[in-house]
Amino acid sequence: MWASGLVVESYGLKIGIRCSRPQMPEGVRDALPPGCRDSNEEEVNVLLSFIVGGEGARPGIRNYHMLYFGMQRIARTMSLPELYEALENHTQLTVGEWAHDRVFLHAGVVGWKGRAIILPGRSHAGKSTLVRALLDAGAEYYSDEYAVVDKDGNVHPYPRRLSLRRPDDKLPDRPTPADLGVRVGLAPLQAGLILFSQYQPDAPACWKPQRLSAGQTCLKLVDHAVAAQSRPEHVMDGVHTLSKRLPAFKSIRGDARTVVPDLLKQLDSLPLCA
Amino acid sequence: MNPKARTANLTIRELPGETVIYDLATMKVHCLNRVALFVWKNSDGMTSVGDLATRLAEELAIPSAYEAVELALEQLSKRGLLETFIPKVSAARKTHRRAILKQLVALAAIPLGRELDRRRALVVVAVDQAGAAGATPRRDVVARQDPDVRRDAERRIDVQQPVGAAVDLQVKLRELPEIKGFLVAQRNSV
Repeated sequence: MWASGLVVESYGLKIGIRCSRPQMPEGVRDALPPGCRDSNEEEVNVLLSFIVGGEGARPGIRNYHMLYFGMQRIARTMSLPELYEALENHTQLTVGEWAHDRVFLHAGVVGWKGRAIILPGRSHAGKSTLVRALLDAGAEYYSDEYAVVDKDGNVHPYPRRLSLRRPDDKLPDRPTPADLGVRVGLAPLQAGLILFSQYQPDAPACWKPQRLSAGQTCLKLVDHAVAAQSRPEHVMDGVHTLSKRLPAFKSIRGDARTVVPDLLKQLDSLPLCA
Repeated sequence: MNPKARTANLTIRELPGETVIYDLATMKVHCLNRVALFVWKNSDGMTSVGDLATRLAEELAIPSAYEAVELALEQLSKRGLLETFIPKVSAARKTHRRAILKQLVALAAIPLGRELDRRRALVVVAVDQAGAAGATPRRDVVARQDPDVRRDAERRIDVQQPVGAAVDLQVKLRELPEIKGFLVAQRNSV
């Protein structure tokens, strides 16, 4: 029944994907976590099973494409892009939860003059839009979904395809950084500033961020950590390092483009961390 | 009964002027300022509230230390950080305590961030479910099924009307002449 398969490794986690067709559909590779490497291992930590649907043997019958994550069916759809979206979400979330020596935060990240701006936010907070606006201002792209932080408080690149929501609630646009013509960060960066911002259409025109204490920053970062429930000690170590050293702010904001100049000015005025 | 701090199942990290406690039992994260931390750390089950207040006043120079200790204990108890239960303070004392807190705030005796509710100055719970964002529930999980067992029910069957069905029906009802010859010709041309 399983005609093809591949194994990749991402941050110490081995992910196996098996497929019902001899030729693994091309979109599978694009949906895997950025920076993952092919592996020859036969034992994996996570197994995904992809049953390719499409036209059936008999006329008038079409089969769903189906995707299983272990024993859980996570997608059943006629649309391959939807299936790839599910594949991407689940693999990246799993890596984020179990990465060996990194803490994954739900956050956009850009690089600016050698320092990283971390933009934690839940879905619909406007992370990707703010990241896009910062990229347009000349920042380097690190991620629009996950800040990957090591034990020293450095942020590593995770340049997945951006996810830009559309007003019509269809699947979001997924341009690559190359599609947008932006620079992609390649090396880990020392974190420079944390901004918790939430998009509100009726936000005041004047952007007024409020400074947070280290304790408040720590709480909010834990709240945005992927592994907050499954690996609390590991998460606390990571966010503690960031909270101790970094200035953090919170705000509501309107149009991202109006926030960007003040945000970059704020970062420029901050001293480099020790 | 003397207050006693709970220490089991807690992960603690100290920051400048504050301490963050992750309660593994409830999956809640708490941030204590120095007053709340002092009260919590010194609640050993053998020290009375009065003695706590005396020590607090000496150690941190807090005026109205007794009211501060009472407020801290109430909040710590409410958040499950004490092993002993602390009864709620009466409404009359609360009003008096608010006045005291205003004094404490005005004197900056309690370090506050701008977002803190000044009435809850001593213990702040900013995250009610630490896991709310982490390990996002996979809402699109449809069912627990074994991918190694194929099921015919996973097919979607598009039943298509064959060309000419309406015509065939009308022929059966004897409303139109039979046109078998024409149908055979069509098949041959396919």
